[in-house]
Amino acid sequence: MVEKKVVEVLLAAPESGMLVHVPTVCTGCGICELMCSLYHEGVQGLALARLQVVNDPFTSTKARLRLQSSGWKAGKRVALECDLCRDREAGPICVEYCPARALGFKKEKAGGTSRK
Amino acid sequence: MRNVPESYGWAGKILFVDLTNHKITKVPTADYEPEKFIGGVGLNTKIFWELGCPKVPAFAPDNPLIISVGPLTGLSGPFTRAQICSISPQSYPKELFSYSGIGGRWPAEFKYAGYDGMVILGKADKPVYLSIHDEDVQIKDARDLWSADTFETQKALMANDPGTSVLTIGPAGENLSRIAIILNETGSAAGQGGFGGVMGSKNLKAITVRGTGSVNIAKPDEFLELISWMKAKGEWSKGAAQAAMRDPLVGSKKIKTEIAGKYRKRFTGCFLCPYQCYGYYSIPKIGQGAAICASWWWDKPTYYGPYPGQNTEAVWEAQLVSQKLGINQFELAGMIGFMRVALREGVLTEKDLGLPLCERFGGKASDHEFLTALLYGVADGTSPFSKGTARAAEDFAKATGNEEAIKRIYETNFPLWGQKGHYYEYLGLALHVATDTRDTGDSSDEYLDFGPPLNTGDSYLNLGQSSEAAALALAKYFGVPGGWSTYLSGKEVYDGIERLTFWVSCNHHLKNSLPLCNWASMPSCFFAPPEMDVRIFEAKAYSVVTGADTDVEGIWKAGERITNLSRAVMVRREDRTREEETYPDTFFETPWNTGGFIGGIAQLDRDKFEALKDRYYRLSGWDVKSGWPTRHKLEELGLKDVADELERIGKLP
Repeated sequence: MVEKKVVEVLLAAPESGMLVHVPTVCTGCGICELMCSLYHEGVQGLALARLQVVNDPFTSTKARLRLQSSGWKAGKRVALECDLCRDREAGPICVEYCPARALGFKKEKAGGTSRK
Repeated sequence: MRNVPESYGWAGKILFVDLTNHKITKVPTADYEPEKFIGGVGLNTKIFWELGCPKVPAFAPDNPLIISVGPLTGLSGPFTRAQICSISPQSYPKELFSYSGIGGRWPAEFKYAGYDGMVILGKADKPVYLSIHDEDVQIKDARDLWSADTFETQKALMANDPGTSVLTIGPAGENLSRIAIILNETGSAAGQGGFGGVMGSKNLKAITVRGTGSVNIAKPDEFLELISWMKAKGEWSKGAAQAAMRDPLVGSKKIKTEIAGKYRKRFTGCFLCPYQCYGYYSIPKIGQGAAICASWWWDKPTYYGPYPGQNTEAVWEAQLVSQKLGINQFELAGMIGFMRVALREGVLTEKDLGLPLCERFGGKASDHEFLTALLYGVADGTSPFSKGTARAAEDFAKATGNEEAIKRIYETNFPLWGQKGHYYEYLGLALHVATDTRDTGDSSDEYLDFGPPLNTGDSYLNLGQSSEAAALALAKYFGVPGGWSTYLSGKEVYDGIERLTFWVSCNHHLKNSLPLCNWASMPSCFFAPPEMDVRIFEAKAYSVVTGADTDVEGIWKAGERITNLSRAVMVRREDRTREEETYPDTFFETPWNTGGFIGGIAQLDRDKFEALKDRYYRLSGWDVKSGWPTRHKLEELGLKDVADELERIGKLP
């Protein structure tokens, strides 16, 4: 199970920073989705997460992560946007709570990678 | 506990599906007092009680198949579980109302779709599947899917409806095998109970669900604190549950190394759980899927020890084919144990079994030939084993006349209720199983009764203690005596075991109702007594999510209440008696023998076991003579209506 570490950029915002994903490490558990939903919406649900795990349970391929631009609230379509949790001092909540440490955040201005 | 708005934690609705009349209704969860019965097994049992505990056979249309999640389902943590309850075709000799948990992805989607539970009644006149998209619930034609395996069925339904999650049965369930499972994805199954056959008897092939809702949390900040606490304990990313379960549990080191090293592609698990304790394996030409624990039934260490002739491919084929056909793997492990002993003792022959025996059993067939004959025979109903080992043994006994020997061999592997036993060398568990409806398979039994975690080598409770200190810690933190009852010493310690079983039984019902994964709640996982033991965690999680102002005592009462309601079902429907709650004679007469960590026998002492039952019933507030719950206890738990009904039918002591 030794694989080359590949880092994918999920979002790069010139002013705030860069959210990266390491698919070889990711277990696809989906905790990032729920933490995202909890921080931004105060509830937990996949339909309100700005990022989404894409996983095929019938193949051994590793899970992928992608950003979602829309979701569901009370049965209605709503627009969603990842703002890299810009009001959150500790950085994006998905990065902080990823059990596999498969997410990383790089602050553009301060430089260096912060991974809590 | 005060009444709580069902908009926190609970989704608010229970779905009733009448397959005979194609009728779908939704009722408020509040009708079933979720603040008292929580969800999962508690809610299912309450619904079954309100349905009148029908005295019908497992495969009768009037047997309700009840599936519930709980207030914690759909949240981040080891909570993605549903509990399936129904009259169990696997139970032996009587069919009992029993339960089986399932993880995967389905439970979370079901919750997001807006449901806490679902009751399926009746029988469709042709194969159907149930499609749930939030509010939209439809009964759809499944004739094209009938006879498809569990993987094909899910793939077809998911291709048709991307993003959906599927509970399905395989051919075993369709053909009314009594050991058929209900599967989600490739490795999450409701295994015990034979509920796949109940689905099959209703002509219900699958239940697809997709939900776009969310779970409301009463106190989101405090919930986040709880998650942060788990994370800070280091358990968020490397739990003991993972360590215990991640490696293939096979007998041969060579096979284990090969499977883990060469064929394991990634880790996986139930969605939204940090542990991800399953391995995902792929072997060319055989196939791929998730596996854990009983998945390795063809070469479990305890039944054979290392088996040099065994090949890795056969181990994987056994796991994958049984999963695709929808057969209970834990039962298969016991079945193999039964065959092995019966063949070794010459009680049964190749001809009696009607199977081409492989080398392991002294035959000439390949493993592939043997496995194919066995598994397809179970799935299509042509093998006696399709009825489960218990009933197959009965057939073999009649056919060969070797009744006594076959009974003894069968009972050693399947001590009670027609189920393969789990760790029944532990006295606390022996009592727990005897007073339940199935092999409880509860990890707390193992951990509290026994000692240090078996697979991790961690010290007990993560406290860095010796076993003796651990026993003291158990007594102090959990109020149970703890430690070394039978397994290592061979000396049964009966004193105080009733408190241990009482503790585990309450917690067993509680975690199956909240729900909280059994493996994730092993005492060595994220506990840190005294500031946080499992009861404190449960009370906190329940309170912050639902908004109910519940402390440890309150949540513990709920566990006891659900235990008592389950007990009342046994009394009302199944005429449960104290006399039934014991072990076959073999267990009292055979000298103590470990035989490996599953499959050993701790010799029980009849007088001491009966005295232990006395103490356990008394502690539980049950009548010592009959084992039935008393009015005093039922009323104390807010179950006056239950006491009234038991009195009405003359079963209140």
